Amino acid sequence: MSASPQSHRLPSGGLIDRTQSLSFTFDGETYEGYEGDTLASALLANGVDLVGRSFKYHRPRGLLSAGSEEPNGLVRLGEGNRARPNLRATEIPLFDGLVARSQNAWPKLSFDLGALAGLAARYLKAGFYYKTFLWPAGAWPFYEKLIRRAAGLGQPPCGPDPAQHEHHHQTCELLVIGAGRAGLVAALEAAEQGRRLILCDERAELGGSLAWTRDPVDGLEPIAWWDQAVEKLEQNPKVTLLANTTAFSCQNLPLVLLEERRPGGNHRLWIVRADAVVLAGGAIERPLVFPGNDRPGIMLASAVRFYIRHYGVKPGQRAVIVTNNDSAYEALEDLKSADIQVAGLIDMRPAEAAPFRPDGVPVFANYEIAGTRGRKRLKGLTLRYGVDGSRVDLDCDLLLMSGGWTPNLQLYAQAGGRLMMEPQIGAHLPHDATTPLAVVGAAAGKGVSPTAAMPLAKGPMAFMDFQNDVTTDDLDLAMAEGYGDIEHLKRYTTTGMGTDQGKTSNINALSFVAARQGRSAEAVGHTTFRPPFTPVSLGAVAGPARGRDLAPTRRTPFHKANEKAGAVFVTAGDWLYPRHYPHNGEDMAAAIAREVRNTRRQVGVVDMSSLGKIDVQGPDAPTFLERVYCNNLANLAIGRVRYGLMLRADGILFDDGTVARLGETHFLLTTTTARAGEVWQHLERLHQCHWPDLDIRLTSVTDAWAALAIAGPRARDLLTALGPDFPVDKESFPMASVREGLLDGLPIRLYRVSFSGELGYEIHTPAGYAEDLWEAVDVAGAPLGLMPYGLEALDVMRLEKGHISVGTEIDGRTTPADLGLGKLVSRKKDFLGRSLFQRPYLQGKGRLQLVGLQPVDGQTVLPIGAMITAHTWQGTTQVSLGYLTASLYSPSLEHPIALALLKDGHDRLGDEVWAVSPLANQSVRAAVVSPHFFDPGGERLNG
Amino acid sequence: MIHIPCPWCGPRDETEFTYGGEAGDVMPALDGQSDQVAWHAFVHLSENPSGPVSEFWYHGGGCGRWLLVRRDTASYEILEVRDAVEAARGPKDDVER
Repeated sequence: MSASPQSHRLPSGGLIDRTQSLSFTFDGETYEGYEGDTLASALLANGVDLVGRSFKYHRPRGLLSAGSEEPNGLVRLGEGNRARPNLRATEIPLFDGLVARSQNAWPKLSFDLGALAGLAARYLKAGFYYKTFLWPAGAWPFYEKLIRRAAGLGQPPCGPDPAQHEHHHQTCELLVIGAGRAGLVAALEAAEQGRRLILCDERAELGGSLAWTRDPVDGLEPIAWWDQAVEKLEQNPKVTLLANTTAFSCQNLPLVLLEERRPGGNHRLWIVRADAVVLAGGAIERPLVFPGNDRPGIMLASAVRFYIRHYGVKPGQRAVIVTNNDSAYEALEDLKSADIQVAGLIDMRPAEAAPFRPDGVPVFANYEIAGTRGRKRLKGLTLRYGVDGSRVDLDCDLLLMSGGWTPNLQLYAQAGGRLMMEPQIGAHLPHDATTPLAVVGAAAGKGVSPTAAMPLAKGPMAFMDFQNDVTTDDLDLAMAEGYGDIEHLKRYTTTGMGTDQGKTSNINALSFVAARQGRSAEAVGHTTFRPPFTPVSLGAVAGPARGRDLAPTRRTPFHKANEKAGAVFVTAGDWLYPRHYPHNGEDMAAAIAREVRNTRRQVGVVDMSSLGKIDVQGPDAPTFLERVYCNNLANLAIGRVRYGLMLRADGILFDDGTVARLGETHFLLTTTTARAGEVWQHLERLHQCHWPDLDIRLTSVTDAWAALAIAGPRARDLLTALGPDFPVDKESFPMASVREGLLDGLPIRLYRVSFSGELGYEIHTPAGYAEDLWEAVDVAGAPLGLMPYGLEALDVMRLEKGHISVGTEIDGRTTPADLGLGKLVSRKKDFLGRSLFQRPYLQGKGRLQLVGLQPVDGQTVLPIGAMITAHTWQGTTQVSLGYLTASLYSPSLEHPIALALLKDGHDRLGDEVWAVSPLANQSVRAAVVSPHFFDPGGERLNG
Repeated sequence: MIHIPCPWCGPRDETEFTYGGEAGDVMPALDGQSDQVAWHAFVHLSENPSGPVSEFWYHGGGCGRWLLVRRDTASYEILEVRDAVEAARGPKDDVER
């Protein structure tokens, strides 16, 4: 651009601060603007006409509007990971050092190769992507890539967003959306009544059209009244004023969501609960539809007035006005004040409709625009007389158009308000007297200029929707192809889609469709309004809940001890859990193998604190547990612990764990780590919602107790060395025992249970004693060869034993019978899930059943996630017989093993199948074996 | 996002609660008598009306109580909230709690 600095800035006027000069760059060029500018006004002040290329045809586009309805002036703001695409230049407050880039142009805005698409326009009609590129068959994916690259609306940054977004919850007695004249009046009234209120506006300054209209308010100049009103509200402590804040969702009143755009790209999501909501969203001026109505220099009449009056910008030298209503006549005075020559005023209505006869301005009544000239900037127009079709040429570089006004009722419609077409203004108004929110001002149609219904012009490149490059021809074509419904038209032509969601195009499109179909606009209806009103950054929606702050991090009471022991941690659910404890220079596989071998040969210790623990007490506790576990518990003696299986009501396995009886009416349950929360909720629900008469109390004690397991042939030696205050020999404390006591002076609950398949004990102690317990075990274990083991070694050992695990085998589809635990299911009692567990579907043939798999070659680890098939994989379709749930190399057996869910697997022991993974391009022959790979007789366990 | 007036904690955001499905039929008794049809209806069938419906909600982010919430699915209006135990036992037993 050849413009000198701020060449298009008026010598005086506007609400900008001319003492505060700000430097910014657009597409690499450096410009200057003033404090109070938007990026759009600063670009105009520097004579930058071209702000973007259109979506489909890459036509040069300038600013159409001055507000959030802007379809053309979309820019990428900022650099690197802070960059944000698709922001409206009209809404970006200028700041020093601002960096913005245009979109949809390559290699650059003024010379865009994509504009060649304009030459191919006849191939890019409505629905082109459904019709073209279909030949040859199968080539679409190739074309799609090209089209997607060419299309696209902006590019998101690739890395994590460094900005700090936050959520803010707020209540108020009144929320006023829109701080123009009507919103300020509503806020002032409520403030005088002492109500606690929030007033928000999407623009950087409150005031709306007060900045550029001339009608006095309460006998004051609009700007003087505005200053007074804002000052009054600012001084009221019960009033919160939010600028740069868009109310974007009213779908769930009384909840309203606001996005506040704060300096530095930090956004704040306001989650507001308002006793009452007033919508003062104003109205948006509509463009007129005529051939070539999209050239830079063609703007909404109100936008030109806004730029002149609010920003002291002169958007052109020689202007023409075209209108179908009175409101555009008010622009004449603004153009005169900015010393812009007016080459003509085209009133599309008959001569007698004009509100007045302007001095010294040629008026063309009953004319319409037949075409426009100028490639990167408007140069002139051709008019056509409505009576005889005669033509007139006008030279101009600025066209102000007004096609009437559309009240901003998106939020009203989101809240469930019904809209009614008002022919007087050619747009919708609120239908109901009893509305979910009060609508005031121009949004309610107040002061909106009556508009003549105009036959919409026909001709090439008459744009209905600027952002999506939809022309009248596209709508005609879509209707000719049978897409007559307005919702279908939207989707087929993309009119009303995109980041502006048709703010300037929807009404024109539906009026056009109505005229073409010979129906009333009321009959055509309108598309559904859904949140957000304008695009919202995903960062604001996520707020602080991202990365490690997405969920709380849970650490076990042994965390510090684990750190000291050299644990490498892994995130498992919310838990930070020891994965393995590598010795010097060891990789993970070596560490796991060593930990397993040491546990199987000597003794190991593992942190089990994340197990869910639920304390059940009360006279009805035995009855309750009999109902919620599917296995028999009636004869569980005090001091004994038993494996327990819990079903869902539909008969599917829900969780496994232990049930320990500490007293006549006192039980302690353990659950899996993964399901701890769900089991707790499930039991509480059964008690509270369904069996409130059972006299029991449930308490979650997961966090109250630290738990570790010691396992291995020397586990009893270790326990004895720790000095328990009760006998722990084989006879006194056999398998499946539990009791409370002291260990090295620490209060404990001791369980003789084992997950690893070794002689093992679980020691629970109140969380506060955790470090003392670890220390004691560590000291006593050192002479016995004790080593800690992590989650991975634990998983290896459970797999060697064929023990099931939540998420792999307990997957929400399997039953105890499927997993080989059918004999545990009681036939003597009723329990939750019994009835539906007996469904033929769950009992019959064809179930996926748990089996072990071993590679026939004895050495290839079966591919994780592999499908099981009857034949090796040859790239053709095969019937799946099941799939692997876990697969690894067993250090104890010194060959690979796997668990799998195999169709009718319990009948297939000894068969050979294929484990195939097309992703890994691997097929491995495998033998079906019992899942109990290691010590199937359980001699070690009972040792 | 709806607001649920918890009888123990006061009005709270829906994010503090877990939805527990429709509170339709009474759970069949675990007396060895109930048939699969009754359990099928209890587990799988729901009314899913557009309008008032009774639902269970669990206030896990608050008092830890299961609540019986009567709610209009069309308007999001909360019509009534009771502690599930009170609702199941009837008003006479309120004193005990």
